[in-house]
Amino acid sequence: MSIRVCDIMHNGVITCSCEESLRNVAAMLSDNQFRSVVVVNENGEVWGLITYMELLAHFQEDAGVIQACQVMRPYRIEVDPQWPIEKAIELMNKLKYYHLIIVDPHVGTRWPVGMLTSFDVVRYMSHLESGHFASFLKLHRQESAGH
Amino acid sequence: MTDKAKDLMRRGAITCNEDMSVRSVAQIMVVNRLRYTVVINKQCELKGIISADSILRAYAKDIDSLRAKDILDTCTFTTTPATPLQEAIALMKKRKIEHLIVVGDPPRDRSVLGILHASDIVRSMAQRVKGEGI
Repeated sequence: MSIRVCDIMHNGVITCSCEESLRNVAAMLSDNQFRSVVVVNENGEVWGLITYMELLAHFQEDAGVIQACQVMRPYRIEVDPQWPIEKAIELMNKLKYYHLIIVDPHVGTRWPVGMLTSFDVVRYMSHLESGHFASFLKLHRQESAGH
Repeated sequence: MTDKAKDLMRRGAITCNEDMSVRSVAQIMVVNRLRYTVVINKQCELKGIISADSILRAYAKDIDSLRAKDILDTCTFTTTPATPLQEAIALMKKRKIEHLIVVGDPPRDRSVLGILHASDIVRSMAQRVKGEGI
């Protein structure tokens, strides 16, 4: 059975308004250990994306006066959660966009419902489920102890 | 005011051997919640770096027989602990990369000392902000 985007994406995204200051965006990313913030318009629809790279460009500037809409990367890609994962990966590799915002087409607006990143795909490819982390770590410790 | 790479770098780096399978490398990254791993050879010399994006490009291939050396990015960008932070950030922006490998004093010493990651720089931005807000 083909794997779909919704099977491995993570649900929920962190959003900010177009007027949000860059200092708040940096704090959002840092506090939540996220790599990207979705910029939404007044209707809650996807407008743009801010990742580490956009923030790095303004490291020395006063982040309190810069607004999110001034630095965001405009985002116009639409990815359906029902897409086969191969189609999403092909798009990532082609566009070199490693954060795909997933919108639900049945809602009728471009509300973000989740995100698919290259790390989500790596987690799927590793064949490690969340519950297996402990046993994997234990195995490594035993190997280390044996040396 | 922070102005050197050593002030924000993470000491040490999770490494993998160039002969490991790509699936094992993916497992190391997932377990350690990292989006990259430094690749070394048997002599512990730096060979390159593998990011989540590199593994993504190997999707649909046999990642059990594919080795780390087959997909690693040999074009690694390095910095030293004494490099001014501005210089390191400029390199990251220019090359559009989120991490720099921190090595000893090149060319004599090429040992991996740690990683300077964009998330650490963003955290410093957020902390600076909080400090100013008080």
